[in-house]
Amino acid sequence: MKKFLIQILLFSFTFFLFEKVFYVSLYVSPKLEIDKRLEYIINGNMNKDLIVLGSSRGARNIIASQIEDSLNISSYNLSYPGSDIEFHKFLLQSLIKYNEKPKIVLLVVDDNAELLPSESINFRFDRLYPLAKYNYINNEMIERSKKSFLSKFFILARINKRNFDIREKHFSALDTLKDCGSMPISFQRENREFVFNNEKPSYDLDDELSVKIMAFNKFQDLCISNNIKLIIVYPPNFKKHNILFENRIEKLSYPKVSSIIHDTANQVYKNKDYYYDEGHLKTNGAIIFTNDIIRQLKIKVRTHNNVYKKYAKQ
Amino acid sequence: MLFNSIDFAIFLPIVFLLYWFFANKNLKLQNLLIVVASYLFYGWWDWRFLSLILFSTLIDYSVGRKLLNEENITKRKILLWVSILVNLGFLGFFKYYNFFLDNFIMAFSFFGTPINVQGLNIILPVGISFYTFQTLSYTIDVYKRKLEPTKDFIAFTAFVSFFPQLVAGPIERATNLLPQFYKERTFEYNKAVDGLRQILWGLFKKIVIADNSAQIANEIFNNSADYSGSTLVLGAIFFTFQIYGDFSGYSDIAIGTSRLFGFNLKQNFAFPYFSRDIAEFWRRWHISLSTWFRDYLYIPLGGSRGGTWMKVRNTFAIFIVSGFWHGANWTFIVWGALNALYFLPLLLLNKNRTNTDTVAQGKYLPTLKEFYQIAITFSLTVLAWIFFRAENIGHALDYLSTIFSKSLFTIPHFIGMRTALITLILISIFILVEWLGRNEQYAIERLGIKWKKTYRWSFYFIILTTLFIFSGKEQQFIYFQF
Repeated sequence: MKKFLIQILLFSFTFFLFEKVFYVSLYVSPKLEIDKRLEYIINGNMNKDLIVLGSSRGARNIIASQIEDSLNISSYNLSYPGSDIEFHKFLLQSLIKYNEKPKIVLLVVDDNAELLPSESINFRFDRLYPLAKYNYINNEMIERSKKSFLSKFFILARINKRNFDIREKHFSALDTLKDCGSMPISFQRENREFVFNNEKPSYDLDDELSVKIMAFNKFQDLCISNNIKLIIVYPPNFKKHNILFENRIEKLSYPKVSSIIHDTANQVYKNKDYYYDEGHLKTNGAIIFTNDIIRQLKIKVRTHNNVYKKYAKQ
Repeated sequence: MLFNSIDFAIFLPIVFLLYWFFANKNLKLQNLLIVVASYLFYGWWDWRFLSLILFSTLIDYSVGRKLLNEENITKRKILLWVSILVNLGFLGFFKYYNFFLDNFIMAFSFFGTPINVQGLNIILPVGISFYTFQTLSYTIDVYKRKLEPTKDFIAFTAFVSFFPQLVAGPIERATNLLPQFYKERTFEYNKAVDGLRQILWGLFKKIVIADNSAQIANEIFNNSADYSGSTLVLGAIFFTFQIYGDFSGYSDIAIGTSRLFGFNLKQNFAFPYFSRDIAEFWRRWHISLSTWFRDYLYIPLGGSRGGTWMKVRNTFAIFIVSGFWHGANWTFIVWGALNALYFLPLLLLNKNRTNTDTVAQGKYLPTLKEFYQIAITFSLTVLAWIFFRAENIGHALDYLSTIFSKSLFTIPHFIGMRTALITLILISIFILVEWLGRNEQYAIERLGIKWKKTYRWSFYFIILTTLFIFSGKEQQFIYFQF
């Protein structure tokens, strides 16, 4: 028995040392990424007055540089296609933890999947895997049961297949990043029959996920407790605006939270030439929608002291 | 508690140390510790069903004790039937109640008298099919006077609930396992090291082969209507490796864990995908269940001693019941029947025991004929697994009809091609290692055993590293649901 235990300990210790070799791939992995936004956040390099958070509907419908130029507020679009409210909450709390707090946050909500089960919007773990060398990121994955607590001690338990992908990463035609963050798409999706959906929208409260509601509330808490002006944004779809969804979000919103809804009377939003697909505008549409936002922001920010002062100087 | 979980990684060393240090040299204490550990292991999943195991244990222990002094044949039969009815009653209720109810409703509707009966929301207790068969084997063997009933209640409880094989087998016979609880167990270095090696290989099968294959198989089976015939063939092949890696991996971990505690469990999988015919496949796949049905169903029904009709009837009976044992769904019944169809020609032509040795014994490669036989048997098995995996019969038939269409000759394309390619490479390495170790109890039993320690440990390091790096999305063991 003594021999067995000694051998086990020796084997475990040797393996413990051996596996540290894999730190190389953990170390190299973030350098190979092309979307470095999350790394900028945890390194404290994301200091902007206005931040846009959302899924692809935030990424492709709002141009942050346009807001920055119009309002002279440093702005950044931190939207990740395919991300959900839990991921947005994680981004916001990381942003607050490591950077100067933004003064305004535009949360772009997904009509009507924001609080519902959906395969198309998730917590974007794929954005966390390359950054597993950071304890903050690893702890988040442990908390979300993606990694075991062993990952605190073992590199191999922390590592992911993705960390071995040494290919140079490229942006797809859909995911362009510029200095102001995510950008809209300049072309229209092929082989699409665009028919404006005029059906009466529905929304079933029973389908909502409590975990998403909690994340939505926590998101608001973070904004309130950090004196951040939270504005909820409802971008257009190539269908009738869902008032039931809007009412639901309004009901869940705290009194200090305001909202911006696209101009539902604007015929542009019913014209397929302004859309990439049924859920996303293309560049020409995004410019118009961003102007909508700017117009309403001018009114809303007046009530928010810090930014108002800055804006008022113009 | 799952074998491939952190919980088990903590649980096992604690029980191991308590067993060999605290309870060492005290057989009663060791058995008691196994009972406590086993109930904790099971209760970790759902403590409510511990009462079922305990009740089953009490019934079979009491029946066994009564049978010891009972000479009256009628009373002996009654006692046997009490055990059978209680055990199969639990199994029938928890596993098959809703299935029978649904089918009765469908049958009544079919004949024009629809009935409206609500099904029950029943949770299937994990491992019920396994421990039920294990306790039944005890009572039947005692009834047949093949086994002396035990007086040691703790040993019997430990035999029924022995945690390494409680929830997914191997289904141990009382004649093999129970006597091991009576004998003093001393720590053997080589046995323990061998156990750890088998656990390591079992984890590789489960975490690397099964879980990665599962991701692809799930994608293809769940969206089979969207894919071509060639893609569906790939899906079925991935499922074939998923189920093998999953179940034989579990068995390896169970056997290896038992060896750490000084027990010897029987081999449950003997490289079935290298079989040259279906009869050989069934001698090598889930051996503990196949032999259980052979000894307690097939032989009592007359086996293959009678005429052709009896052979056909008994073969279908054993395969269909075996299929039904896997789950309350027609897909499992058809899977069983299909295997009976595969098996029958061999039985009727008296060729079911042609291949009883290991393929290509003493050679590196099989002959062309052997390779051809293996390929045919493997293909038949893959085809049958489609029914096993499908949601229902309609799904299986649609799946098959797409396979046997023009799209079979197109290039496969599906979501996750890159993962599939990596998994195929891993499966190829796995097949190679299994082939090299096909004469052993498990593939790496002797592999590298004579190498220098540095090389041997490097080999284990490589396996451990792949466990971490290539771990697929954690999946529950498939056989937990049976």
